[in-house]
Amino acid sequence: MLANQPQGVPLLYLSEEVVRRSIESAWETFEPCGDAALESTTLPEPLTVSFVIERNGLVSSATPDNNQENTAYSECLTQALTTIDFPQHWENPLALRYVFTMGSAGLIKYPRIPLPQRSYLPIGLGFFGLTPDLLHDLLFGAESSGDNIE
Amino acid sequence: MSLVVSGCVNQLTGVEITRPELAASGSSWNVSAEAVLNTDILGRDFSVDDTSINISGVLRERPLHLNADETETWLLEYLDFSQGPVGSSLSTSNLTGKAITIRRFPGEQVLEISGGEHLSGFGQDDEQALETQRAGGVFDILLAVVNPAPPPIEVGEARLKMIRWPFSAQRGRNLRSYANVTWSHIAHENGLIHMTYEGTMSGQGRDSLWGSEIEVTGEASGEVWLDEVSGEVRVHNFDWLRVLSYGFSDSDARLSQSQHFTGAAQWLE
Repeated sequence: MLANQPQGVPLLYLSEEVVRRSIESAWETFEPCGDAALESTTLPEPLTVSFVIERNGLVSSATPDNNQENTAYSECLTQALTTIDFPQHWENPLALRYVFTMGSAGLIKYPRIPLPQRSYLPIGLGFFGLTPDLLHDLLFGAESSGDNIE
Repeated sequence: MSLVVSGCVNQLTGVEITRPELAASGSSWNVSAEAVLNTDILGRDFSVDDTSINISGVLRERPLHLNADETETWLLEYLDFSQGPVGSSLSTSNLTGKAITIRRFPGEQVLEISGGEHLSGFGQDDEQALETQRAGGVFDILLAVVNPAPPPIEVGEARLKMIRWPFSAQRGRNLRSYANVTWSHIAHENGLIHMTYEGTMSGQGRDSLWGSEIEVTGEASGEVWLDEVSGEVRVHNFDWLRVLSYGFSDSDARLSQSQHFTGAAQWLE
């Protein structure tokens, strides 16, 4: 049982796969979006939308890229997104921000969670006693410990 | 209940592909493992010897999709996981409640593991708190332990076949580990196939967050008991040594970590 999980509430999983399937399902069932996608000959390809899932599973904001021109397409895509009722994500006390890209053939790029700076050790490495910041200082020197990992 | 391919093209055309027998399947394993880690940073005179970690929990596997190329996508959930230093009591692991997906052909080796970012890194509530570090990036081997995919050989035969588990966590961060092992079919025992294996480890990876290229070496041995009808793993005892060597594009230091894993997976249902 997770510490921040209310008792009596089943443990739910908000994995990347769950998010992806939810988006695909919403896209499939939201007919105006489908019509716009199929009938338009000037689809922005791809269209990028960012959104935030609150801990209660609701989408609090969904914003298409302002530079993209097909507003009907982007608007109904944004509406489809806000119809999704995601599972509550007890594993994470914070809202999750996702960015995904949709094309005329559907979802072409999976959502991703932007990484907090230096939240991760190098993949595969187990330290259990050393933070990413300290490891960075050891490898690259303390004087270079700015925002230059990425 | 049936499985529906959820690929984008099929959504637009309405085509559905079903495989009911797959939808009815799924397994759970009780897994436990100990990892002894030795870490060196060459060129910086830094080392940490014999950090030992225990982990245990239940891995539950459920089918998600039948893909257009006939591969299957499965969801693996981490249930009731606990972890802690060897010699101390275990506490609830923050792997509990996480889930990732794997893709493979039926009964075959793992082709892809996605969602590894949920199993590694630090909790977002306190990024610098060491106790929030997730152990899934180190214990990615558990995903291979429950998916060893041994070859179909008769009693007394031996054959080379790789155990593979390409672990990835976001674009640009992946670690492809391979156990190049020779399998030996020892016996049929009470409806189970008893096999042993032994060989070396290899592989490579990269981590774009750190500008790092990774080389994998090591050794692997173990024994499995498989259901002779379904071919599923019932018991898997393993002893694996994986050595990860990291080079960095912006540093002359090299990081090396040996990871000695021992443990077992026991089929539950």
